[in-house]
Amino acid sequence: MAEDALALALTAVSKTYGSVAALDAVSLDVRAGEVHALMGENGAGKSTLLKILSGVVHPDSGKAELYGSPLDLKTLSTRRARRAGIGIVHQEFSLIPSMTVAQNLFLGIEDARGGVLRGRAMTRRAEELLARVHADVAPDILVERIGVAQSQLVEIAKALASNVRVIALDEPSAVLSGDELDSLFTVVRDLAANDVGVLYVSHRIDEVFQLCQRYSVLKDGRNSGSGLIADTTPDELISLMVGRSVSQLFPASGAVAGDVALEAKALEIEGLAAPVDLELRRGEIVGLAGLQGSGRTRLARGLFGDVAVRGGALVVDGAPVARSAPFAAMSRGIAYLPEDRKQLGLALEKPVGLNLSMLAWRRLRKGGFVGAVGERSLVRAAIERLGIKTNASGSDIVGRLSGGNQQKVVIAKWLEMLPDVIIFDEPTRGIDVGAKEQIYRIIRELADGGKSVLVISSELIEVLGLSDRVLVMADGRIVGELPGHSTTEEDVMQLIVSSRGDASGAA
Amino acid sequence: MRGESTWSKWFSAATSSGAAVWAVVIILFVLGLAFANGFGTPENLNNISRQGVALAILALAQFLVVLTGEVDLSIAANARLSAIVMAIMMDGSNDNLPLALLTALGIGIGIGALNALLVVVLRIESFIATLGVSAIVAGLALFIAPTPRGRSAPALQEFYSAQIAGGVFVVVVVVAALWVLSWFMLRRTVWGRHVYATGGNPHAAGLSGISTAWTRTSTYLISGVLSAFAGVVILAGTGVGDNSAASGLEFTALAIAVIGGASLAGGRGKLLGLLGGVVLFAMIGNVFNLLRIEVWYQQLVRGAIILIAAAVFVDRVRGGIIRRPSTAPRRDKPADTDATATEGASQWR
Repeated sequence: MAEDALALALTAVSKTYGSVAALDAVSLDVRAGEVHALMGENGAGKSTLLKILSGVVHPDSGKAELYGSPLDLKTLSTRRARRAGIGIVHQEFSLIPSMTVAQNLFLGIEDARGGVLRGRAMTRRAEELLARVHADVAPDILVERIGVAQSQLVEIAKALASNVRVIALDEPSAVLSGDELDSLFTVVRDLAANDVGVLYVSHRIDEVFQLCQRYSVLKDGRNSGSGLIADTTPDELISLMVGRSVSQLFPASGAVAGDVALEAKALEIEGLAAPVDLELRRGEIVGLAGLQGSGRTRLARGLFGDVAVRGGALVVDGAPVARSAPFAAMSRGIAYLPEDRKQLGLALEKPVGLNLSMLAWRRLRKGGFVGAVGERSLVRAAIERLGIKTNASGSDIVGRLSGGNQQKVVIAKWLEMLPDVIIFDEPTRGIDVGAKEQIYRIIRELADGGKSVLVISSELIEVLGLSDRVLVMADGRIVGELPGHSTTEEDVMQLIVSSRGDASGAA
Repeated sequence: MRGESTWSKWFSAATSSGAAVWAVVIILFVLGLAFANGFGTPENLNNISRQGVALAILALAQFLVVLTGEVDLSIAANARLSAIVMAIMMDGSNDNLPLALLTALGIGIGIGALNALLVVVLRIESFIATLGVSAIVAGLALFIAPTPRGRSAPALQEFYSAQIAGGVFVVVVVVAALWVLSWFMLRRTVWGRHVYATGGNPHAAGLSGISTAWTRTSTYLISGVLSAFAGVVILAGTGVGDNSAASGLEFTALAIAVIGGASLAGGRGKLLGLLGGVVLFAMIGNVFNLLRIEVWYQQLVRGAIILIAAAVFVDRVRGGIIRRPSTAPRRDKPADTDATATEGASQWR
């Protein structure tokens, strides 16, 4: 591999926003034919680096070479970056849902003669590109009709459409699991095998070890380490990123489970295969494990009254919840923190303060007005309590905060409702290790404080590390319960596989 | 439950493709044939088509802007001012016809450029910006012609009454050609694709290297020119510069775009649906006149049609009582999707 050409070399790239240095003399080199892991916490500078590569942001200083020829980063535009052969697969989908797959693939680089599109030629090339990324979709289907995994593959195909020589994937696995991830890995390896330089940004240590040959770690806008994956360990990578190791991430469980806070009795939630029976006790964290599509989110939304419930009973503190609707659930102290925090959890373009007090206005109102003094002190207290990195008055726009801080705002917002039962759906999706640890600690403190917590996560290690009990779901039903901290990932898989009976042979 | 989802799939396909509007058009057409005396005669149908021409141009102008996710409320005032200025310049003679047409073109481009400046450069919400421009332009029109002024060139009126085989008016053919050209531009050129992309998701379009600012500017310019052309047709029909011409048509055009299946959020809409909306509105007035239904009642029915269309066709704002399957992209796929999709998955992440 040593003789491989340098695909991309960045030298001493710096970028400051105001007085904050987002990147401080960062260097990076990606070889043709390798998968290079770019790691670091949120705010470490990874996304700034990718923005510079895609021509969205221009650096203050620094040089770049693409296959030996200099690339002027200061005049780079999104169009020019694509033409130069740099493909970026953004974390937020950059596909247009109301357009077809083929239209999306060639967006901005349409094959045209004198402004007139060559539709047939593009459809043919689209088929080739889709086959190359193993995407099982037709070129003429609307993007809004395909699933998230296929969208991710289409996104990669879109980056390939401009004869890509260097491709940067920004956390492509964040929304995938299981088979989808395997096919993503296959695609990435294919790219490398075709001598494309792949820059792979990820938070997931395990997949970096599966997929990548070399790594570079950023911390606080600087290079904090790089080398061969074969020569390092997960613990070393994590300590390069945050300075602590994995085992220290999860807070110890000290609590003894108390009374039953919430009980579902043969609750028939629409979309699930079987009625749900479960108990959540005060002071304990219950994990909900299962593959994507096993009905975890559906169950949680059923408890919260956000999907139709056909029968059975939901009992909170000994009394049944009268109606299946979010406001009924909330008035009985059930909080649900949705997995898609940007779409459902926050008013992204509004200030932190407004988001925080959103659920507290019932307590704050005086007559028909919201008491401004009460609101201010509430916002201040919430920011302090969860250690949200923002200005003390809460006037920053939520959308500009890092993922971890956004998630803290979501949590703080729901705590203002004074809930007894809190359901976390993917509480750490897309946030970095350091922030994850803080979120884990917050969740544990809530349980220790007598709340009853249900946690859903695609990261099994998270469910197992955090929970006192784990409920395992498969194919729309709960298939078993396991103790939290002593259970291994294999135990859970075994339970899922055995629940599937005849179809389990393949797994 | 299966049946319901099939039905809703069919339903959303029908509304977004504009097929639903055409169903209403056909129903109205049949009712017209059955109950309105003289509706089905070739003369009457040709008249309807000519009466609908100005609306067809304005609807097209509005539609282009709506596709990018903006609106243009200045189109009717634009048409009015163009018609008045041309009428005064021509003053009943053919001499100044070319110059008057050029002036109208200039007015159209000027108003389009002003809209683009306000919306694209200064980033003012297009509804407010173009509403303001509309008020200014309408005020200007009123200032120039407090009472009807000027007269159209005879050649223009001849053009308006010229017919080809079957009694079809030439002006209708011209506008039909304009529509075909628009279809080609929207569906077969890079520019058209960028228009849809800009409206579909401006952020994603920008990341793909599309200049959304230029795309939106171009639609405002074209909208301005089309509106001025609508002014030409209106003047040809009325023969005089009238400050009440085309009043309210900016909103009618907007309603037509929405009824035809375009999304006010941008990125969605087909010309076939738009045409259905134009035909519907052109036909309603005619049928009602033949039935001697009073004007206030016609207004009422038009309003009802818009409301029903909005209730049925338009993507509902989130948080309502009635929930329809979302057409937004599915970012996550919980149990809503087929639970067997990940069957046999061997690895955890």
